Amino acid sequence: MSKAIRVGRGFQKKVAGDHRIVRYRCALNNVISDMLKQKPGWVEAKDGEDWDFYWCDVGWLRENFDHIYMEEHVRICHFRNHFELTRKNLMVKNLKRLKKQLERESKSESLKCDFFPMTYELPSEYHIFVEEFKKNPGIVWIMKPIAKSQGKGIFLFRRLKDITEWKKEGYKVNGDDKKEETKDVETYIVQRYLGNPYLIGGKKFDLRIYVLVTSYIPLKAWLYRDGFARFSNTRFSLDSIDDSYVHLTNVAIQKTAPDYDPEKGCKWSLQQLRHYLTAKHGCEVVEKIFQQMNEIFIKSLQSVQKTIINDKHCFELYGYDILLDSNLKLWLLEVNASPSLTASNQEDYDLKYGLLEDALYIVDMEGRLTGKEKRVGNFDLMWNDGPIYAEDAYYVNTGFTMNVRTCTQILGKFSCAPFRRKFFTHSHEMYLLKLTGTQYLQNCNFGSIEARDFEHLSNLTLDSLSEYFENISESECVPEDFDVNLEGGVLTISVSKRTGTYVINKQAPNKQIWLSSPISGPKRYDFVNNKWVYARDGKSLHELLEEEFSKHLNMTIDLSDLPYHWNFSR
Amino acid sequence: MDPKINEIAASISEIVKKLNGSTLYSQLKRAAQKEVEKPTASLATLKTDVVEALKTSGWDRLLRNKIFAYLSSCQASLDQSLPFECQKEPLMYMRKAQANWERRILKSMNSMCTELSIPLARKRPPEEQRALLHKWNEMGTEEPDLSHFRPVYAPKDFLEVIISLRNPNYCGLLGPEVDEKPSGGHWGLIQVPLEIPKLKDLQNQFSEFAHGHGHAGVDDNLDVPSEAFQNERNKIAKKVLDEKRSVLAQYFCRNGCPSGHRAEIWQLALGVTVNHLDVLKYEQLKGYVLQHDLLVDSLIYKDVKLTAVNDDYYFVFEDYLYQVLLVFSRDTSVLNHFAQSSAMPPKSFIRGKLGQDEYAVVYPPNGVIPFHGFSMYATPLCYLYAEPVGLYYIFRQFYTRYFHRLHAISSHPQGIVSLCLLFETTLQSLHPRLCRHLQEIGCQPLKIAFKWLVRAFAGYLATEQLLLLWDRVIGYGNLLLLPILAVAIFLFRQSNLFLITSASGVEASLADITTLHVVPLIQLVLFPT
Repeated sequence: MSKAIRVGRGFQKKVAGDHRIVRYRCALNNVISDMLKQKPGWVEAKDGEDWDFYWCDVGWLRENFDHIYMEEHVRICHFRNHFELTRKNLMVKNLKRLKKQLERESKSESLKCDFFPMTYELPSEYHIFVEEFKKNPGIVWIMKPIAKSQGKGIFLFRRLKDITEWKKEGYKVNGDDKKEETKDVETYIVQRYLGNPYLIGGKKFDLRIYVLVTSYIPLKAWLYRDGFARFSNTRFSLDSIDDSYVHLTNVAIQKTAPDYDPEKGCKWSLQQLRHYLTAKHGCEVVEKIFQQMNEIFIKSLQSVQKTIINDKHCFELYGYDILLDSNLKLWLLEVNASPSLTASNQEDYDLKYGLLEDALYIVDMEGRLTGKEKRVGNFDLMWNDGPIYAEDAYYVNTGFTMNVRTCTQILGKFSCAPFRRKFFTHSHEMYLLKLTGTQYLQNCNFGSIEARDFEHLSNLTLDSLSEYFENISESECVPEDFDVNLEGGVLTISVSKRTGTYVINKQAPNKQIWLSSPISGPKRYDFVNNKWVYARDGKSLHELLEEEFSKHLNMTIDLSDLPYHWNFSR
Repeated sequence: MDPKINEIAASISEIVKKLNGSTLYSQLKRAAQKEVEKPTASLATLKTDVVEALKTSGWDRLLRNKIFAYLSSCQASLDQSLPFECQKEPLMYMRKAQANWERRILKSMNSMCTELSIPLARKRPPEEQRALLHKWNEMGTEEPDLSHFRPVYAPKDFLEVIISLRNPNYCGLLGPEVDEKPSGGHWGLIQVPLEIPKLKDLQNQFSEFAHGHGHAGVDDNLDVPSEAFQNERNKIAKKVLDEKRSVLAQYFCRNGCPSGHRAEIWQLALGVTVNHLDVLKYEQLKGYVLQHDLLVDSLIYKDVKLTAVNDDYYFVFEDYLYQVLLVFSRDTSVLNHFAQSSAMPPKSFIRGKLGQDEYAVVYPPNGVIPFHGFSMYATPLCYLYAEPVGLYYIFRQFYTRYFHRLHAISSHPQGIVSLCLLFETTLQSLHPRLCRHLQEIGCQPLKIAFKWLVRAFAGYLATEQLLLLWDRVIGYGNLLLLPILAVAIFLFRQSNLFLITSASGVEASLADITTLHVVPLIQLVLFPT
């Protein structure tokens, strides 16, 4: 028996004033690898080298998981038996079981599990299926290979004949060559096709929502706000049953439609969909739809909670595919373990980049979180061994409406991600408008700042900061080795050998100012509302410097005379 | 006699004349006859009884709504003794300018025809008709080659025409040469003297925007508990809908509709009902589309592809837009609105009979030649109405009541020229320093705001916000809030604008206005704190 390989040795302890280096590996070559490359403090581990974080594919997991021993801090992006939820047949099996279980307890609770269409596994459940088929003549069924994703191998049928052909093929291989049996007889599931989807502009769509699970026991799940609706390109009607473009809304399939325009992507944000549905059906109905959606996430995760091998090294990002029918009922189509992380256009890229960035923030290799956060980036904690209730009255539990305190955070994100700006058009500007009245109006700086403006603003900021710290270095309580240096747009302030060095520099391409603090780590500041704000905590650059330097130097640091310090309270 | 009474009498007779031919008239007549035939009817009280019965059975409300709709779509009746063209547009130089503009458009269309050697209209062979009928619900999948077609004109071309307008009887203080250097005389681009409302007039007219009035678009949007306000509005909305009175619905719109009730409230306020006759009419018009292929169809296709389909929100509605806009082009009842407008429907001649008036036909049948961005008048409505017929009638009403004024030269207080002048004047009076700055860097605010005005902001604002704005267009029955909002946007972004030193920079900083909230912005201009 081979000895288990140890993974993650030599991970640095967290030391104040120094970044901890995270050694990562990444099996995919798309948005995720781009994101990891740009993560400050993360370095890619070469083949054979030790690592702390692995964005692996499921194949690697299957072969290696049982042979490695992971240190406490190591994280990988799948659970050992993730397929319990993401393989279509197992998902249904698990859900059916949960439903039965709940039936024993209470009828009403079990009804909440009625969100998956009638489903059978082929060939194993072929006979039950045929019985059911004969009971419901004329309805359309959909065949999906269980282990393939992104719409591969899916087809629709109405007559049993279409599938006997398929069956024969399967058996033929079976008979001819015993060896290939396991390989070639693919398990399919056959599912009642939902023939009455909700249509917008005559077009069919499905919803893609991202959910992050960081632990199954206890269950801890996060819901991402920026989900979207994917439209099929052509008008929906059951007449065109052979036209798989109409019926399948997976991005992967739509891409091959003859008039597919990759630049357009055919997507609506969840927020846009919400507006649309509200206009048609009113708030209460929409609220109910979104509650149903939460129910689907929770129930589906609970159905596998006891089956999935919980492991604190694992986390998983799921892509839920959900369909809304014309009775405004939601149906769970499938759950994807490796949601397509290849971006179809810039907007999509921004969305996925943000998604992964936020997800990794929650996975928290750096040890920055307290564990009590209810919202990180665009993720809301939706379940933590029990439902998460809003801490303040304004917060809507569906998780898709934003909350007062986060307005400024979201606002901060606008200037770097134009995509998100479109999402939250609703209350942020309004909130600030009310809060600060005309003062806000006059000081507001919306949209992306011009390149030239950025140059001007950032220079002014760095110059003024450099001058200020230069001046206080004369003062008595400042340590001997305190040093300030501004060169080529990079401001370094070394406080003392013990404390470490601050580096503040401008990032012209992103129109950001980046800060690296020996105390609180790296932060990126956007120019919003006439100050430099860090999107994650809503704090301004100047506020942070005031706070930290006041501590270092044991004196009150007041930067309020410097430009772009302006804050709400005045 | 009091001239006012004369006026009222004239409009009453006008309305009675119109009602005489309507379906409502025959319906009323039938209902009245039924009353009379009842065994309980007595000769002595017949008249009061019938009137009472019509009232209680709801016919009274329908009649009122109909009259209200007539009144709001007609302008105050002008002196009947004037010649027809003077009633349409009293100023001769405006009339001439509009006529010239129409001639230009027509010429450009004709030359496109010759260039591409396509007729203005042709009958479709039967198999093509069938194919089109089959594709009716998904015309978006059709990808005809439109690369040779270009929009007949864009708002930019139209702006140039408006800028060049001059009143020959008017001379600025510094003499006629002022035209050459506008900085010496009137600051803006619009050089014609028209009466526009002052800020005080606007404050009176839009008094509901003053603080203390609850508004959808502000009070339902806060993160502070707003349920009380929303519930209240929803309750009133239901009441208004139960009452079925257009006046109430219109008034209700002034403070914004709750989004769940907007579709119905708008229908009621605009007096749009869709009964089986309207469905039939729609089907008939659809038949006309199937029979003939017009050049304007290609223009509509092209425009939808250029605007709505490119929009990452509206692309979904592409098919609906064809079903509305193609039908619209065949609807001759749209021609009626030309009586209220300075514009004349373009005429074309049957082949070989050029210039002979008896062979002239209106082209296209509804008299409206689409320009670049025209389809955006209909696009936001797709958001509210899920089937093409209802959508069509609302759009037609919107266009014939309001939007046609946005692309015709006239002295009408709500014509585009007046709106532009109102924009320039208000901006200058509220923030002269900003205007001066913009002028110094060579930027004319109207050049940026014009596209917003012409499209009534459709496609520029976020949908929810646009609908809140159009709520007020219906509520006040006019377009004056468009320039007010445009002014507000400049004021709102002033700190940015002051930092910018080039005209293109200004354009860029105002390119994306999807994050703005219209109601507080309008309040900012009308009732600054």
